[in-house]
Amino acid sequence: MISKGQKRKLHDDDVVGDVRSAAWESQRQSLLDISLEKYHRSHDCMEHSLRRSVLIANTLKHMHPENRPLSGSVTWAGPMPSGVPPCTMRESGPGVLTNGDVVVDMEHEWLSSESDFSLSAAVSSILKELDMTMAGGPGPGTQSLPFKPAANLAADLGLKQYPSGNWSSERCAEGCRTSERVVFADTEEVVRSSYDGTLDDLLHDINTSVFEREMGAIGVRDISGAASDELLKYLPPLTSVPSSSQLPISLSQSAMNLNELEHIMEMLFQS
Amino acid sequence: MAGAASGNDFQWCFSQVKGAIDEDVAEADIISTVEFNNSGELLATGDKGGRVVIFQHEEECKHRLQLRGEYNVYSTFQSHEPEFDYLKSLEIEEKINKIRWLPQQNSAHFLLSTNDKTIKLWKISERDKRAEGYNLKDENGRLRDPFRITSLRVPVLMPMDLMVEASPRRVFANAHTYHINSISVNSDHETYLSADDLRINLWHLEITDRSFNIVDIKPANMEELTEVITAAECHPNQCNVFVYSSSKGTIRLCDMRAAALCDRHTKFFEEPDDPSSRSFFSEIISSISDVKFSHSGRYMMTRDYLSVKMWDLNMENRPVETYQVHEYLRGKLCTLYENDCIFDKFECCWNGSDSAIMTGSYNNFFRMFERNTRKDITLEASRESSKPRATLKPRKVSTGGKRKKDEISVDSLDFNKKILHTAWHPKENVIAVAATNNLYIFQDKVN
Repeated sequence: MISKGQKRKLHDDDVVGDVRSAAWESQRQSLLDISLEKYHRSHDCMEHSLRRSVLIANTLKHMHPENRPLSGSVTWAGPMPSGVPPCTMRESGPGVLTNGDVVVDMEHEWLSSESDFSLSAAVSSILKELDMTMAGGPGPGTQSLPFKPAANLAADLGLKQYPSGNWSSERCAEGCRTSERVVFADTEEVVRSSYDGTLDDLLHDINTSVFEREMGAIGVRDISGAASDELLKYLPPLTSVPSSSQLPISLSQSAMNLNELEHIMEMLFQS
Repeated sequence: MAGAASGNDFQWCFSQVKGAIDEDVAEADIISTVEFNNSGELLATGDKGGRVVIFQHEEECKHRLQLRGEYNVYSTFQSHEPEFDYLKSLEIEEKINKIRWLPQQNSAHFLLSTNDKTIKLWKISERDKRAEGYNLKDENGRLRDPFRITSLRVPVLMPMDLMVEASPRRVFANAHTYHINSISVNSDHETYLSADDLRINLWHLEITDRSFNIVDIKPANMEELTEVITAAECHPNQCNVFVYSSSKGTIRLCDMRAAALCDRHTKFFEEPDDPSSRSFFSEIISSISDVKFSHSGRYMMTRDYLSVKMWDLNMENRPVETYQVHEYLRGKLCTLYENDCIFDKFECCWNGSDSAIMTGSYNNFFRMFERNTRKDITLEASRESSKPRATLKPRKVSTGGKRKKDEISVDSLDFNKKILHTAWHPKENVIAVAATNNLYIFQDKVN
């Protein structure tokens, strides 16, 4: 009950809750970016610590939007210690959160949650695809690729381009063996080409000229080859679609895939 | 009683430092494990280059100023070589992950050393005599013409300069698909266990071509993998009991008498989460990096990223003691996650009487905790304070706004200087601290 003559005040908790929620969201997005970058870096650098990979994957899973805390208990790093690279908040959309400056952008929030879903699915698929058995291949009973370090991808894909006998003297600055870079460069090309082939087969029966006009409108053609390759990596694997068959594919299904592609393209541009 | 007094009651002073002084540290020289043998006479180190260096304690020598004698190089050998798995196109690092001494049974010493995939049993023996006066060989070792031999003589043993030989006696290979993180010698002195990320195997020291798999947490579908084994150790007295820790901060105690495959634990140790301190990094910092039984066998100690916890084997629901190692890092977890320091695996160790524990931190700091008085001390392993018999000054990290003199702020900590490996002499107050490529030996000042 409000006392007579006393002016009503907007309840502060709502505003504070939104601020904390936005800060939490921004923190989560930043950590998501860091985790994905860390995963790719470990993929490139022959880092095959299963413990580290599992911990990063579990951290990614914890960042699901449903796990947002009800009370705004946001933890964030304090001032950066010297000699340590700064952990910066990364821009990921029109809503840029800075210390003390809150911009709540609904579109960004929606895109974040949508992108998290697609990114979570993409992470799972990446882990699944890059999961290499230490035992030398999937066993007879396994239905999917077991979770294994990225380093074994070359073995599973049958790559044996590594020259023997001269690796022990090759050490890059970060402690990786430079020879591994050759292996993984080829590995990425194989992964990329497999996705290319799958998409080409999918769209074989479709006149894509209609869609190319729309793609051009959002600047798809301006994407560099590396960015488009990066984009393809984040697409879920089309494992349910036979890659070598010539089965007719419905236009709506391909349109759905292209819409998904369009969403991801928008996210990339905004970032 | 040696080792009974606390880390805080004694004055720790510098004794020795081993290793190069160069600013540019070769990665192969980085020490990756440190271990005293059961008597404390020998101190072994392993490095990333696959080498093992053993130091031997020499009695109080001519220098009257020496406190307790010093450790000098006894033997150096290449334990593991880099290998390449051609089937999987994988490189196998030669880095020595762990060294464990076997109980001494004769004049020779035995130790187990392991890299990611292969465990080796080494025999270190002394030779101070050689046989002379062979009939078929001359003094230089060349074969003599048998037709010129006209008399027989009995070879005699003559003294020679002491030579220490390290020879591989057993190689335990091809039993681990994942990276070995722990080895532990059983109290029966016949078997030992080795643990990788997903499996634990039990070996007999005499049998190299097979081992028993006693723990297997690999899921049928590897996509469901959420937890890995981080450390394992045999009980010091009960040869049927061992424990293993996980990346989720849990410890499982298993009894090998219950079943051949110990997937079902006998005891499960886990501390409930504190909801108020939950963050994105809660799981990562709860990952246990080391587990050690006390010498008595009643307690075990676990090290996670920020703390050391003492567990009573008779109480599973929470630790009996918790020691914060560097709580001031809790606010820096994001940065430590980005630069990967959050994945560092710190070890911990007991003193001989189980009254004190020690563990490492960043900026070449290491911490000691006295269990009875709950006192703690932070010391630094640095060349600057490495004057002979110089007493180590306690260090302090300031967490507030105002920094006192001689305190160091959290922002000034060097996260590249980390002390991951420490060892405490089993009987005396002598400690070995590995700081990157240097091994520091400290001891208490004898009154």
